[in-house]
Amino acid sequence: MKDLVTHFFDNVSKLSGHLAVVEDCRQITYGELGVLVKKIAAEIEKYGAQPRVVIYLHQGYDAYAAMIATLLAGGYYTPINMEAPLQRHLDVFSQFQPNIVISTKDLSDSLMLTKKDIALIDVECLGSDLLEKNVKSHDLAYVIFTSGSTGKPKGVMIPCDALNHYVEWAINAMKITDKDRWSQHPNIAFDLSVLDIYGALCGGATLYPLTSNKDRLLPAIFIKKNQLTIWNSVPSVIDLMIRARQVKKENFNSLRLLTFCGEPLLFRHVQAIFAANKDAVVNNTYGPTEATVSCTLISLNVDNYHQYCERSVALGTPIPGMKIELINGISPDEGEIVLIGPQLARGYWNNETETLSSFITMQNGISAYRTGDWVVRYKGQLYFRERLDNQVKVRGNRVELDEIDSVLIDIGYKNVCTIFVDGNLYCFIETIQVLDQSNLRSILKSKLPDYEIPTAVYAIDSFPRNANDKIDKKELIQFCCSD
Amino acid sequence: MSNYTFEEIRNIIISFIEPKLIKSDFDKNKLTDETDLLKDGILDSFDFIDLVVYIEDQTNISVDLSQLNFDIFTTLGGFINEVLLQQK
Repeated sequence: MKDLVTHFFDNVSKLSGHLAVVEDCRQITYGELGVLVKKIAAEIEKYGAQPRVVIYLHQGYDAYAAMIATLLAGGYYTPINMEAPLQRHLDVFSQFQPNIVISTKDLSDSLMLTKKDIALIDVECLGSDLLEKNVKSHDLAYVIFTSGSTGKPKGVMIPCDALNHYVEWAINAMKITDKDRWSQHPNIAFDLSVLDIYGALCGGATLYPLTSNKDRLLPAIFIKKNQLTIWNSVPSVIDLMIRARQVKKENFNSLRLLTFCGEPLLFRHVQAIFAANKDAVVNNTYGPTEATVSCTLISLNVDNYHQYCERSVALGTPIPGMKIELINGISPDEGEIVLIGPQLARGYWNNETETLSSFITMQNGISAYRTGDWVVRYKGQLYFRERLDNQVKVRGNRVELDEIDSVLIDIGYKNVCTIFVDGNLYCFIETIQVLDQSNLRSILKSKLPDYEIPTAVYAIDSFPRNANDKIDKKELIQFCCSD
Repeated sequence: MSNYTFEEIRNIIISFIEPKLIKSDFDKNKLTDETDLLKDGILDSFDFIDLVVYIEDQTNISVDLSQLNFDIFTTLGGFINEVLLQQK
């Protein structure tokens, strides 16, 4: 199996004049991108073997080059969500303890890197040295920080072998060619972007990042303007396009494949897509960050999709090399999904406790990951039912409700409960005082990304509790629905 | 059936975004026609599309998003003007 860096440089040789990435105001060919990667890698190599790299750049080809360069230079990286507040960035920094940050002088100013003895590689100021050889790799490729229930983000460590396995699957399963024009919608701090970035650049396709507010507001128009052949996103973006009445033939007719992950894909999404383009294929995929982006697939077409839609579309079957087992169900046709195979993460960054509780050893001695997703098997297909914990998906973004609680607890409130109803987050604080809403909002906004900010924060004299003295969330939900 | 005025459309928009102002911690008194609803964090892309649908429901004006002037339509004033243009 070829590793992804080799795949990429094969394309640099074979397709050097072919466009690799097209942005609003600039574009880059495979040949030029190859040079950029080698320049960044040469800078990285100056700082010693197997460095820890933070990528502190907006979505775009500098960031993509930084990722490949880190791997070429034998290091591993974590990408930062530049849309999140600074405090969030600093939380990641303090956990990850990087040697190097790849950024620009302007963007990295507020980080005060020189005070922390962290080297800055400024992509606007690179030297002319090129790193030609692939240096001995660390066994990790990247660490993605996700919402953590304790309030501190949780770093998922993905090994090179896992990433290479996934990328190899993606280019083959999706039959990527140099004729493909592929969207890059997910933020680079979300592992769904891994599919776009490495799938396209290792497959020889041209990548089109959606970066402007306008493109992200009307992605269907972006698809049409660039005649994209492949679309990848969370299903919520299709909702956006449906509500804007943009899922139509004239916008969708260039697409040959739409692929989704990250939250349940619904009948209405698929129905709208096939009404706009009956020749497209829709892939539903499933998998947590801990199993390298995704590890199942079901391919739908206009003739078969009705068979695979219950409350949501079937999760599909495991991709070659990966296995699914169900545990703790009363019957063999239900249970919590446990994943086995080469795409499993090594564990959580500096968090032995959480690693041991989620990464288990099965009875036959094999390592497995407990996903916390409860599913049922119906007519041979797996369908998602519910989470076993307090994790929700807010427009496809993974959110631990406890993380929001912890911000409020940190400022002194003892009893707090965040719930998720109809796509909205609501916080309840047990207090007899009147809440300073404006102050609370400021604090929440300084610590949490936008999609984690609650729609409303309510004061409650005392929480309704059930027979086990646990907060009765159903009553809180009813309160929100009746409001 | 008479056409809607700038002020009337503005009021409809304010009634939609007022609850969102709480979420984004934006001071209502600071709202001007130059306020950029997206960039100033008042609405995200989902909210913005919901706003368009809301205006259509309230006024029966059909807003063709692909016709909008992208340079200005995310500001409060710019958006009202675009809706008024499409009213004709």
